[in-house]
This record gives sequence, structure tokens and C-alpha cells, in this order.
Amino acid sequence: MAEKSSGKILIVEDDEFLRSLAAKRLKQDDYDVDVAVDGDEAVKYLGKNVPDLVLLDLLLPEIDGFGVLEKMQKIDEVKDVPVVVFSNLGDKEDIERAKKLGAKDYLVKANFTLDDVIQKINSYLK
Amino acid sequence: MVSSIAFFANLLLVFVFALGFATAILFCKFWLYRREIKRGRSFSLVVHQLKSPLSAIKWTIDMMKKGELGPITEDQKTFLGKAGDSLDRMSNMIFDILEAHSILEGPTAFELEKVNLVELTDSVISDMIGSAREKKVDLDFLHEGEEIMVSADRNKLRVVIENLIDNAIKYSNDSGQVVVRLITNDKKQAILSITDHGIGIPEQDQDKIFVKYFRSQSAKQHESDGSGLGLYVAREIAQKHGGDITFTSKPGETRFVLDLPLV
Repeated sequence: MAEKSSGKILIVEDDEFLRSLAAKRLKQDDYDVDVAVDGDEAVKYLGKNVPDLVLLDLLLPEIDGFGVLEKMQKIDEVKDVPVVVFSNLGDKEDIERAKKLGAKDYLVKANFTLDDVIQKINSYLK
Repeated sequence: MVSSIAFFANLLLVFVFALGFATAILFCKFWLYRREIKRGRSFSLVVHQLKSPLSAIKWTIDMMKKGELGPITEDQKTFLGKAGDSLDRMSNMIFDILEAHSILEGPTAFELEKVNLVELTDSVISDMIGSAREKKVDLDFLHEGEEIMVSADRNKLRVVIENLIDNAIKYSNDSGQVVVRLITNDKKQAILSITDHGIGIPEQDQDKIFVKYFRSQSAKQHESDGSGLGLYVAREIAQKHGGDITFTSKPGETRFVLDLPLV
């Protein structure tokens, strides 16, 4: 019998250790997880796939998280996909900019545990 | 003798290779983030690069404590808890120091605008009501009229008010009261006073309270975490705005007063 998935999450994070920790934790809660290691890869993925939620770092090589948010708004299939920004950039200007570009939420990594992140994701998907 | 020379030569070669490799990695990271550096965000980049490994360590400790990376003993759980607490303390101190540097010596000059101090203080108090309630502290705001205008960098002035009110709540006794009062005087100043009925500042420490990194013994006993930078930064910001912060304190009552010129 196939296991029931809680949803599909795209993690966009260039730090391998952080990415693997977040993916591991999400899979423990029965989420299907895809990853992108930079903004370019994220945009290419979102051109072909529609996740249920995107967990998005901001400081990424080449296309940054803000760029990914801008591109998402131009793709009809993904422009309404909830994006939770998950970054260690925490200036008020960054938070406001991300929300203006369509991010549903903004979590500063250093201030949250992975359990907090799961709760946040569950509040959007369950 | 020859084999010793060969050994040290090989060791030196390994060291040079490792150093070169590490330098290449750092160069690549900064090359990839060059856009951020061009924007003058090299300081934000440093903070981000410090926070990321700290986040990873915090999450790993958290997952280990919960047995999500394999079973652990009760003893290990206890020590992981202590490691997590130490990490939090270290992170908070690092970020206090970085924030102080950013506020006082960062590339952005003070961006002055007309600020309604009544509205700004009310906004800070709304944000802090939660932490006041957790300590069962009543937080009251009394003000003269709806508009008291000063010329200020809104974000930096917010930091000052947050710091003064946060201290008042932190060093209050449980179920205490913190009164924030905002008036004007005939010297064309806005006077914001924050009064708590807490532990007070010992007399022997009062002349050091604005010194960078200073924390009185009673403050440390009441609240073990803290970098001793809050009041230093707050006063520096107040003085850069043409104002000042003064205080009076005795056991059971402390009052901090921020004065700023009106516009």
C-alpha cells in the first residue's frame, strides 16, 4: 500500500548541511522533498513542477531568493504556491521586500528549530 | 636525517595544499556572493555566514536530543540540552555585538525623518506586551496628546525604546508594573521615561551602567544572559540624535529618561 504523503516541498538552500537536515526532518513528517541548490535550479524546477510549498533561502549564488520570488510571480502554475522564506538575513528591509514579492512568511533560521518550521509548514498545508 | 627532511617537506606540502584549497573555497564563496558585496552588504554577509553554521549546529543538537538521529541515553540528552543552551547564549552575544557594530559604525548613516514619538512608542509597546504578560508585568503607556514630533532615524530610535522597555520588564519582579510616560517640557524636549519597580541598580555600579560590556552583579544574577551592550548602544544613539539618556535608581524603583529635541 502506498504511503500517504503530507505534500511536496521544494527546499531551496545552497548550504549542503542545512539542506540535508531540513530534508531529513521534513521526510520524517511524511513530506515528499525536492531540493534545489541555487536560484537557477529552483527556477528551472518551478518551470516544470508545482510543489505544494517552497522553503526558500535568500542568499543564494547567482539568482538570489528575491529573484526566485520575482520569477515565480511570472509563472501562472506556481505564482500562488506558498513560499516560506527561511534565511539568516533578518533586516526589516529584507523581510518587507520578501513579503512584497509574495512570500507568505519569513523565518530567521537562527531563531527557529526545525520543529517550528514543520509547524509553520503544517499551518499552510494541513 | 634525509627521511626527516622528506617527512617535513611532505607535511609542508600538505599544509600549503590545504591552505590553498581553503583560500580557493573562500574566494569562490565571495565570488558567488559578489553581488551582495557590491551592494555594500558585506556586513550582512558576515552575519549570515556566522548564523548559518550556528543554525546547523542548533538543529543537529535539537534532533539528537529528540532521538531523531538515533537513540540516546538520558545522560546524553541532559548534556545535549546544556550544549544547546550554551550555543544559544553564545549566538545571542555574538549577534548583540554585531548588531551594536552595525548600528553605530555600519555603512548606513542615520536617516533622519520626522517621527511621531507617541506612535513609535505605542508600536514598541504593542510588540512587547507578550513578553510583559509572560512575566506577569503590567505595561502602561501614558502620553501627552497624540503627536509628539522629533527628528530621528526611526529604526535606530526604535532600538533605543525597545532596549529601555525590555530592560524594565526583564529586571522587574514578577507581577510588577512598568510605566512608560511621554511628555514635552518648556525646553522644547520630548521626555520619555520608563519606570519599573524591580531590583534596582546597586549604587556602586551606577557610574558604570553605560560602559560598553558592563553588567552589574545583580543584573547577572537576575538574568544570566546579556552582552552589556544595550544601554551603551542606546545612549550612543540618543546622543547622536542630540538627546541623552539619564536615570535614577534605588531598590524597588528605577527610572530611565530619554530626552530628545522636538521639531
